[in-house]
Amino acid sequence: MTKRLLIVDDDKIFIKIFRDTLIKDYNGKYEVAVANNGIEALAKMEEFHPDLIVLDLKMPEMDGLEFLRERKRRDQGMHIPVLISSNFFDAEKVSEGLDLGVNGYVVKSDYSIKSIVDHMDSLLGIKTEDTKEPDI
Amino acid sequence: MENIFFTISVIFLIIISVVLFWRERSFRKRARNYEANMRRKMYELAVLKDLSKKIGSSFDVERIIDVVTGSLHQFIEHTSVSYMLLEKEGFSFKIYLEKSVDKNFIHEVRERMKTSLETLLVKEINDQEIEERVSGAIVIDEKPNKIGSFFNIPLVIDEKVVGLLTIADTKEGQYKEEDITILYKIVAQASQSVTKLEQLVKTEQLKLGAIVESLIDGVIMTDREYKVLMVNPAAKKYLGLEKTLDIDFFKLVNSFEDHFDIRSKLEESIAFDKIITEREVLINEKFFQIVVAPVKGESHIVEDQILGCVVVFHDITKEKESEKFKEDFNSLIVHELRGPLGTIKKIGEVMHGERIREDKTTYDEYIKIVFDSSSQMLELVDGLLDISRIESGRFALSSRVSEIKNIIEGRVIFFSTLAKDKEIELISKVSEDVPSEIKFDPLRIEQALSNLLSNSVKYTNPKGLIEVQAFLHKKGEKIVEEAERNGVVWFITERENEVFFNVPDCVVVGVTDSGEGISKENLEKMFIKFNKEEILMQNKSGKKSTGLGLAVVKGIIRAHGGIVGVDSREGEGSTFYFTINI
Repeated sequence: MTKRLLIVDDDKIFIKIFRDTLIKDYNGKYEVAVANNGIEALAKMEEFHPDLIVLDLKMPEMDGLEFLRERKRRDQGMHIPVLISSNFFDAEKVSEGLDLGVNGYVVKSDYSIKSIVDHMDSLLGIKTEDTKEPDI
Repeated sequence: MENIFFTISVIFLIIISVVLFWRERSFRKRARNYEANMRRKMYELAVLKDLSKKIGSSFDVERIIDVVTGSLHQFIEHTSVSYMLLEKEGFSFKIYLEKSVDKNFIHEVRERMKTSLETLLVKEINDQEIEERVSGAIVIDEKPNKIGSFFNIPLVIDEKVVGLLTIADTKEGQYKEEDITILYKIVAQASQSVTKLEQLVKTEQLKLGAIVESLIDGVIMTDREYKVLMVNPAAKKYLGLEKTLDIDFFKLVNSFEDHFDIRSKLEESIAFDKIITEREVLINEKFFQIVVAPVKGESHIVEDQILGCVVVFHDITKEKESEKFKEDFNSLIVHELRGPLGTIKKIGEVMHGERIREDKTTYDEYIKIVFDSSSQMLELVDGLLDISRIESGRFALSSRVSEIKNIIEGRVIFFSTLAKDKEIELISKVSEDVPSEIKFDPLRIEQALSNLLSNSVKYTNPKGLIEVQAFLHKKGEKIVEEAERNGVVWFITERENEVFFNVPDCVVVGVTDSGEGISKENLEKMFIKFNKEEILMQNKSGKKSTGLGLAVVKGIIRAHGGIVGVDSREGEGSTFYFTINI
């Protein structure tokens, strides 16, 4: 069953690699939409109805935490699980994120794409399938 | 004849004897007087010495008089000694009885003193204003006494009458001028020492006051009952009490709001005689270190007793900010480095797979990403190194006679490949009057120009134009007009810009592009303060580039003694420029 994933990140290279890999190596397991900041993400949430959001913290216009606050204020899409993926671990932000309905956290520069996908799967309750990609 | 001679001789002898006798007598008398005088002098000296020892450095007028009057019985016979002193509120009348007298005697002394003091102070004294204290021998009413003799000595301190000292006796004609003189001298000496002390204390107080007033640290002083004695201007400023008159304890407590419980800290400090230090108290958006310390008295009267409390505020906002800044900057750099590193790692992961090797286009794309990411990191690390060198002043130039035209043309060729990829036209326009030999560090200037060009190529849209310009500036001329004369198109407008004031003879180098231009707001930020702080600011405002490149340009040009700047017209383009002095 195809799951709808919303990637919220301003790092175009990360998005490219991540999306390429998801589409080509995971055989249509995910349908992907992209938002470059919090404002775009709020709009995409309305039209795309994602099953999961992978959220970067540091973005222009509206950053990850601002997006989460706004989502809570509007009480919009609060049922959608959120996985934070940021370049470094910031305990303060994670703990605020958890209060704002975040379900998981990955440090994207440390994690392989496979392990990010494993995290996503576990959040969506999907049993992790073996893919062609070896774990390195 | 003999008789006459004899008689004359006898008379003569008698006269001589009489003269001798008189002389002898007057000698003796004088010697006696001299001796008495000497003795009195010695006595006076002894008394004065004794007194001055007892008075010491005491500043309490009442105490000094007590000492003086206490030693009176040693050399002057009297029934009572009394003084009337001008106090803060009203007068105090103290009488010490050497012998028992009745109430009337005391009353009479008091009345006489009152009248005299009224004359001295030119002021009426109300009976209710006088606080009376009687000590010494007991008062016996059955034994009526009258004042037989008495004399007053005014107490003068710092040229002001502060009271009156009176010696009285029931016997008449008791006091000779000599006695009065001694007492006068004693009192004068005592007054003098008090005056000196008072002046000393006043100067010290003034000095101390001036120091406290001008302190950058806030200082508040209270007494034991938390009455506010002093709040210096700095403390008023920090607490927002500049316009508040008569700052009392209540207003003080309120001004701290909930940030600092001054009341309990004062209580604790006074109760346990303890210095309390509180780090990081936030008041009116500033951080303070606050010290509450008890103030102890050191004079004999209030030995080691806590007189009150002093509260000192030290502004640590700057330290806090720089601490925060360092943290922010480090995390920014970590973030900037982790981005490309993470990318390279991910590409490594993807390229490990089979699929990518078959997909030639993606493979090439990924190789380019690895190249770009590592270049980006390298640039960042180099920039950081340069910035640190510039900031610590270890930025050494190796200047030598070089030709700016060659450098400009070299850079244009270097960047033309990159520009061609974006279909950007990149040209140079060096005026003929630009001297071919100027002294500067060619490598550094090349680096500065590279940084400007790399930015321009990055931010100029495809099919745009970038022009590298150079022309000569003569001191006193207007740079904008000179640019116009040389046919240079750029976006610098000569506002009332202090940067353009008094620029010496130099070569002006500009990089003008037909990009989107920079908003006024961002322009102002761009070259104001090119250091880590500014980079952080820019980054926080959502701009992706760390801006280290521009910081390095500024550092290089500053090291050469030149000026650097930017101007722009939104929608049309921007000009970055720098000067190299000739």
